[in-house]
Amino acid sequence: MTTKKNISAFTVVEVLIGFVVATIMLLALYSSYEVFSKSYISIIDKINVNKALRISMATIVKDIRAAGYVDINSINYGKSFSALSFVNGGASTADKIDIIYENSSGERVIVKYFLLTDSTGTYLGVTRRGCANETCTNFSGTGLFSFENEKLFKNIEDLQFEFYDASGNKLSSPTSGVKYVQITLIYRSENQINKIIQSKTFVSGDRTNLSFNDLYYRDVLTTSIYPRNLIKN
Amino acid sequence: MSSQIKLNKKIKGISLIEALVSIVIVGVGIVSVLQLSLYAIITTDNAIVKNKANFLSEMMAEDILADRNNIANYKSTFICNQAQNSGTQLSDIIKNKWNTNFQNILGSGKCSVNDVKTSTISNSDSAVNINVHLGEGKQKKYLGIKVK
Repeated sequence: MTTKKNISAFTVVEVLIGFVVATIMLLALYSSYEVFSKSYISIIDKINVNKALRISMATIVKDIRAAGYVDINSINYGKSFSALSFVNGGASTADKIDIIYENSSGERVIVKYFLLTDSTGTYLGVTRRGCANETCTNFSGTGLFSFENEKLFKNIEDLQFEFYDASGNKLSSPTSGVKYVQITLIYRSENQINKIIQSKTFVSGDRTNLSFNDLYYRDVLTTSIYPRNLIKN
Repeated sequence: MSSQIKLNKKIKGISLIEALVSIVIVGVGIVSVLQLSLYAIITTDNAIVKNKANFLSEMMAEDILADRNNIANYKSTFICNQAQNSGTQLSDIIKNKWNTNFQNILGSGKCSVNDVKTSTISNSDSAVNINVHLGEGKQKKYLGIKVK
């Protein structure tokens, strides 16, 4: 048997170079996978914070705008009640608010917004009850739209309400003369998505302990509401 | 028995240069896919800024509606780091509140010269036009309301 000298396979050096090149490619693919998965988590977390801010704010705004509305055919028409009740959390904790209004002549509701903390985290909590009397001290069971301590969105850091009268002066209590309600919401991301530690101080109502120095992404949203049913122009 | 294997001298595998060129091409592809990820992050940030512009313009509209008899006082233009006005009218207090909110919402150092927030008032038909420009002027929110 005779073979030609030109028959050749890969040399050891060629195989080794092939291994090195393949390893470099695999490392590049792995690092790009890591970059992708991190940026995916980062984007999803940011979107969730944005969504939580937007929907929470829109929901609270809708209820405060309706505060104090009494249907002209209601049996409670003309009776006095506090449409807005407020618990000031002070400099270190979030506020709470109770809002009363009527959906129809026979349906008066009280809606409560507050922070709800359990073993899984801190949530924006909401309770909605049907009222059995004009001041909503008694309740008419759990109607179709009634719920207790519902968790709206996770990882809320702050919920602040500020009330101003018709002269622009800040009110300590919203019992009367509320013309402007300012709401401030702060949420943080589920994961630590910032690459470097960022010191950030948020301004939110009368809170003074909103300085953070960690890897969480946080965002704030604020808006004003004119509760039309409390003071007419 | 004897056999002879004849092989053409021109039969070749892939040369190292060809392999390296193909790696460069694959690398360019990977980089372009990574650009998509970067684009997604930028788009998300834009959506966040637009959301803020939305609520800030609604805040201005609500505050003007609450003082509808004096809408002429609410004509204003806000730039970055604008000083508070010293007036004592309700409109002055409200405009100071807007100014504070603009700065707090955006955060320090996040405002550019193109991020101008304006409210223009037409007294003849009680129309209010609110323009909020954020994100270096690229994210714009226009809101027009009639207050009477």
